[in-house]
Amino acid sequence: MTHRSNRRQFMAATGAVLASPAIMGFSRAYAKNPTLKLGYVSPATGPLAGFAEADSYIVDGIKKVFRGGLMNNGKSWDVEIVVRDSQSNPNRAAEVASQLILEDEVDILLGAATPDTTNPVADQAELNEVPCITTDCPWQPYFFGRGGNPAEGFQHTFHFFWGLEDVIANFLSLWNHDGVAKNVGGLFPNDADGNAWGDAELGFPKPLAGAGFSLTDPGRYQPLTDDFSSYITAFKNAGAEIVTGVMIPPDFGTFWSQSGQQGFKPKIVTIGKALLFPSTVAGLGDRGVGLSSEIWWSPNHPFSSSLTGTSARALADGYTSATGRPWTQPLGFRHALFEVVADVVGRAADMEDPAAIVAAIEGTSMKTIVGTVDWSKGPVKNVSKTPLVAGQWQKSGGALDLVITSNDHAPEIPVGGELALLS
Amino acid sequence: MTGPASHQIERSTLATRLGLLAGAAVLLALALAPAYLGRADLRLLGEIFLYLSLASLWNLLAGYAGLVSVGQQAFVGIGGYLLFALTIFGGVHPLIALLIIFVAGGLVSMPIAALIFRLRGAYFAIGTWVVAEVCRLGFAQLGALGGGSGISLPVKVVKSIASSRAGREAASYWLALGVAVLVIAIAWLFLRSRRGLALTAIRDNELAAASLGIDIWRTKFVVYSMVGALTTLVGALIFLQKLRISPDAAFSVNDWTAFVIFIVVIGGIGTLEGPIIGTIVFFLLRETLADLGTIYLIVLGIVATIVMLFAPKGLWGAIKHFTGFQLFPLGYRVRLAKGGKQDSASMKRDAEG
Amino acid sequence: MDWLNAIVQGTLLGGLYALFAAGLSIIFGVMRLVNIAHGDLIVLAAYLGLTITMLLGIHPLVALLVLVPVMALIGYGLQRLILNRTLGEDILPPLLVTFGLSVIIQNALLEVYTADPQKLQAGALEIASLNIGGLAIGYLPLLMFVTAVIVIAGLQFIFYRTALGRAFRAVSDNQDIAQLMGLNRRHIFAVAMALSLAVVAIAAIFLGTRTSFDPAVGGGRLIFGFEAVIIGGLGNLWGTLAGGIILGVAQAIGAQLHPGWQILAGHIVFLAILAVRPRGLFPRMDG
Repeated sequence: MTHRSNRRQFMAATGAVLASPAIMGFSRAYAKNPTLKLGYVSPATGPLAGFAEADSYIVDGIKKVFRGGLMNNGKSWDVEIVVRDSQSNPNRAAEVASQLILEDEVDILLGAATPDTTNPVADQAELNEVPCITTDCPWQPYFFGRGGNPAEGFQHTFHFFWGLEDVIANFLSLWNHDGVAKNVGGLFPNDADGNAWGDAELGFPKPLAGAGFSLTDPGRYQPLTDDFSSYITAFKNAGAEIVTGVMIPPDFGTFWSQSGQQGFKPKIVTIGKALLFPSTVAGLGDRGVGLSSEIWWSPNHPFSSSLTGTSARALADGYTSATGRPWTQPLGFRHALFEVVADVVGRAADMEDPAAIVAAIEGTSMKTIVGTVDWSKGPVKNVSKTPLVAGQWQKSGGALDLVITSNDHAPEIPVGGELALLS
Repeated sequence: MTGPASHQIERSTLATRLGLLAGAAVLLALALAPAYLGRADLRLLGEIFLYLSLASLWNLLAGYAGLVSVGQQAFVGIGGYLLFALTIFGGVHPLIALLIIFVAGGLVSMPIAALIFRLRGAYFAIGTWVVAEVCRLGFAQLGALGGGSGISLPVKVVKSIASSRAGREAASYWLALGVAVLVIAIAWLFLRSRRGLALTAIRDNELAAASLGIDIWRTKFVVYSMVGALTTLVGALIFLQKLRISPDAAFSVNDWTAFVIFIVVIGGIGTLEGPIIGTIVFFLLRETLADLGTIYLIVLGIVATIVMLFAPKGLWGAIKHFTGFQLFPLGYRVRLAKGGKQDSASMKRDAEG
Repeated sequence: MDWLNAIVQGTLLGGLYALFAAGLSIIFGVMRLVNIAHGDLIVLAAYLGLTITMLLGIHPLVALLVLVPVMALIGYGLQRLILNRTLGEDILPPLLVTFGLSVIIQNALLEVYTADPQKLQAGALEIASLNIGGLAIGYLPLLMFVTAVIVIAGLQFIFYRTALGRAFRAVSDNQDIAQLMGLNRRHIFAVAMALSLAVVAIAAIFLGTRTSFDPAVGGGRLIFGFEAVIIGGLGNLWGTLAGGIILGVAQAIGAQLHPGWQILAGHIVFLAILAVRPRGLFPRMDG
C-alpha cells in the first residue's frame, strides 16, 4: 500500500512532482511474511450492480478466513485483496484492471460478472502477463468474444462457469413436457450474451433443430428497447408455445407485459439473466410466478466450501441473516473464486513467479461450493465448466422460490419440484 | 512597435515568457519520463494526455467556435473501430493505421458537419448526440467487428508496435504525449492565425463578424473537421490502450463527452489553459476517490455544480481574473510606459472577450 | 395486419415518449434549459412512487395524488436554489449542472434503493386489453396515450390561455423586458420547472408500471424526449406529442423490418426531419 500512497502524493502535487521525480521512487514495504496481492474487479455500481451485490459480504468473510495467511511451500503468505469497481462499464473495467496490474502490482487478478467485466479484465491480464481467474459469464462469450482460438487458448487467463451447450441442454429438458408444442420463440439482444446465445453455429439454433424444436428468431434487438410488438406478432404467427432468450430485466418486463396486453400466452417462458434475481421476479407480481430460468447455484446444491466447510445452504442463510436480503446465485461463485485462489496458492511451486502460479492454476482439480473446478477437462483450454440445472419460480406458502425442476445434466443436484405450465 | 514611447503593445508578458519556459522544461521532463517513471505512472500519464487532448479539442469547438457538441464520442468511437478494422482485417501496422485514421476522421466529419450545421444552439447539441447514437447503433450492426458484443485487439497486433513490453509502453506513452502536444500546438497556432481571429470574432458576435466579410459557415466547417480528424486520432490511441472495443464503450457519451465537458468547463472554457487545469482536477478527484464507488460519482456531480454556481468561468477564469496571467497568449495588451496612467486593466485588449 | 398492429403499437408508445418529452418541452420553451437530469428525475419519481405505494398500500395511479405535488415542490426548489443561478446566454452552465445532478441522483438512488430492478404493481390493468377488429390494444398503453393527450392539452391551455402562460411566453421571448414589466422571472422559471416535474411524476408512474426500472435506466430514454421536443418545434406542445408519435411509429416500423433497426430508425427519422426543417415541424417560437 505504501506504493499506492506514494502515487496519491504524486497526484496531489502533479506539477511539483514533475520537477522532482525523486518522490516517485518505489518503496514497497516488506513485512515479516511475504504478501500475496489479489486484485478483484466487479460491477459494484451501474446497471450490472445486481451481480455484485453480495461481493462485499463474500470479500469481508474471505478476508477473515485469509487473516491467518495462506501456506505455500511451508511459508505463510499474508493476503491482501484490492477490490475495484468497474461501474458496469467495459472502459472502466479495462482501466481498473490495468491499474491493479501496474500500480497495485497484484499477483493474481480476479474478475466477475458478465462479459463486460470478465473480457476487458482478462485482456489486460493477458497482455501484461499476469495470472487471471474470472467467473460468472458463459464461457463462449468469454472465450470467443476475446478472439480465442481453441487450439491455442490463452497464456495467463482462466475462467470457470458453464457454457451455452449446458444452458441449451437444460432448457431442452425443461421443455420436453407433455402438451407443449415444440415451437420456440427466441429473444436475443445485440449484446455479448445475446449474440452468443443466438449464434447460428455455437448458439441455440442448431441444437434446437437437432432436438426437433422449431425456432422463431426475428433477429437481434438493441438492449433497452421500448416495444416488442414485432416479436410478439412473429411468435403469435408462428404459434410459439415456448419463449426463451437472454435479456436484461427492463427488456423482459416490457416484453412480458406487452405479451399479456396483446394476448400472447406461451406455456413455458425460460429466460436467462433477467430472472436470476429474486427481486426482479418479485417485481413482476403474479406474472412472475411460473417463469423459468437456468440455475448455476442455489442453497440446495449439495456442495460445500473447501475453505470453510460451509454448505451452500449455510452460505445463503449467512448472507440473508447478515444483510436481510434474499440469496442470489452469484453468491456461490464469488466464494468459489477465492476457494480456487487458496487452492492455487497451496500448490504453486514458486509464488514469486507468475509462470508457476499459472502452472498451478492449470493443474487445479478441486471441489468447490459450486462444483468441481478442473482446467484439464475444459471444453477448450483455459475454461473449466461447473454444473448447471434449470428450474422455475414457484410460490410456496406465499413466498417466491426458485425450485430446481430439471437436473438431467447434473444428477448430483437434487430436484425440488415439477415444472408447472403457465397456461 | 515604434510608436511614441508612451506605451507598448505586446502579446506576451514576462510572466508568460517565464511560464512558457517552465512549460518547455516540463515538456522535456515528460518526454524523458519512460526513463524514470514506473509502468503505472506512465500509463496514467498516457491516459491523462489523451483526456487532455479530447478536452482541448472540445474546447476549440465549444469555447472558440461556439459549437457545443455532445457527440464527440462519435469520432472517438470511429477512431477506435477503424484502428481495429485496419489492423485486424487490413493487416496494417498500427502506426500507419493512425495516419490513415487521422485522414479518415477528417473526411467523415465533413458530411456530418454539412448536416448538423443547419442546427443552432441546443438543437446542435442534441443533433450531434443523435449522430453519435446512430454511429453506436450502426457499428452494433457490423457483425465482422463483433456487433454488439465487441471485439478484442489481438495481442500480436499490440506486440507489432514494439517487441519488448517496455518498448510498447514507452511507445504508447510517447504517442499519447505527442498527440496532446500536437493538439495544443495546433489549437494555439490556429487561434493566432487569421482564421482563428475570424473564429473569435464569430463567437463574440456572429452578425458583426458576418458584416466584416467573414465566411462564418466555412470558418466553423474548417474547425469542425480539424477537430473531428484529431478526435478520431485520439480515439484510436484510446482503444489501442484499452485493447477491447464494443459499441457502448466506443460511443459512450459519459466517458468521451460528459467527462470532457466537465474537464473543460471546470478548468475554464474558452482558454487554452482551462483544459489543462480541468484535466488535473478531474484526475486528482478520480485517483483519490474512485475507490469509493457511488460516493466518488456523487462528489464529481457536486463539484460540477459548485464550480458552475460560484466560478462560472471555471478555475482558470478565476485565476486569470485575479492575476491577468496567460500561459498561451492569444491577444495583445497595451502596456503604458512609466509615468503613464497605470490602468492596464481597462485598456487590456484581450481577444478572450 | 402486422403492419397495422406495428403502427398502432408505435403510436401508443409515442404517448409514453410524449410524456417524457412534455416536461422537457416546457422548460426548454420557457428558459432554453437543456435538462440532462430529466431521465434520472423520472427514475427518482418512479422510486418515490414505489415508496408511496408500499407505505400507503395504494395503487400506483392513486399514488399520483401524492407524487405529483411532491415532484412539483422538488422542481420549484431545484430551480430556485440551483438552476436559476446557471441561466444566461450560455447553454453550458445548465448543461453541466444538470449533468452533475444526473450523476448525483443516479448514485444516490443506487445507495438508497440498491441496483435491484423494481416495478410498480398495477394489478389486472397491466395485461388487460381491448380487442378492436383483431387488434389487441392494452388498456395500460391506451391509458398512457390518453393521459399524454390530456397532459399536452392541459399544458397547451396553460401556455396560451392563462396569465401564467402569458408570463411564460413573455420571459421566453425576452427575459429582461419581462422583468421590467414586473414579472419575477426567477419565480416564473421555478413554476415552469415545478410543472415540468409534475409531468415527470406522471411519466414515471407509467414507466414504472410498464416495465421494471433500476437507478441506471434514466439516461437511455432521455434522448427520445429531446428528439420529440425538437421534431415538434419549440413552444408547441402538440408538436411534442406529434414528435413522440413520429418516433414511436418510426421505431415500430423499423422493428418490423428488422429488430436491430428499431431504435436506429427513430434516430434516422429525427435527423432526416431536421435536415429538411432545422427548426422542427411546427415551431411556434424562435430558438
